Amino acid sequence: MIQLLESYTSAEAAEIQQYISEWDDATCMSVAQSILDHANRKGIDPLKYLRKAHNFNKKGAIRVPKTGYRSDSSAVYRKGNEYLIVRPDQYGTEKIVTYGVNDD
Amino acid sequence: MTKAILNQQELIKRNIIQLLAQLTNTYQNTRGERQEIIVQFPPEDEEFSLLEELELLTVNLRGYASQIQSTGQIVNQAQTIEQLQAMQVLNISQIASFYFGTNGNYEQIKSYIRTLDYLRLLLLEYLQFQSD
Repeated sequence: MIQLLESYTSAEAAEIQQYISEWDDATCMSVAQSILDHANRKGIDPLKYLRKAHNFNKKGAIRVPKTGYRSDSSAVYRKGNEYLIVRPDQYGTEKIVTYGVNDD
Repeated sequence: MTKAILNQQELIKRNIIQLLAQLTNTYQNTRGERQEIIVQFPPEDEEFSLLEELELLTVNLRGYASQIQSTGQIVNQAQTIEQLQAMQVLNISQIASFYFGTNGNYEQIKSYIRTLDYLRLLLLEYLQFQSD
């Protein structure tokens, strides 16, 4: 977490902490590590990446599968060029596994 | 555990860390091909698209690799071995039909797919050393 927050102001750090609660740590040790890896691979600032994922509006998006989840517990929401892959947590709340832009 | 096994495991770990960096570069270099793929292989309403399958596979494998990079271990080792064995890249139908159905095209993405599967095999090899 320290590594993720170190280059941001306290207001930005608070914003990041708000967004990461929406994320699943997937196979990483922590959500922070996962975000750093996503942002590095996609060549984008971590906070900008978190904002884009946060601003993805599921309303009106195509969901696959339409209800429930695949056998690996994942589902994808698509809207325009963007997609959000999610998994339910232990309480059934959908958490973000990754966010992508198809032509980015 | 013998010194020779430790050294071999350390070599696999270094290879995994190198592959992570290589995969980052390769992913960034596939942008043009990915833009073409989204046109040629558009998503269908009933299943994950090729790029979505690749993204999920990437996230899962990179996550395991980053655990090894940070701590030298993976939590839930036995379960992870089972998951990695089940994650054969070409068992995913969208990836297999793309890989075998586009001869001579999209070589950068195909190289990325092969490198991802190599990473999966290295992770398995590393974990199997730990469970010996």
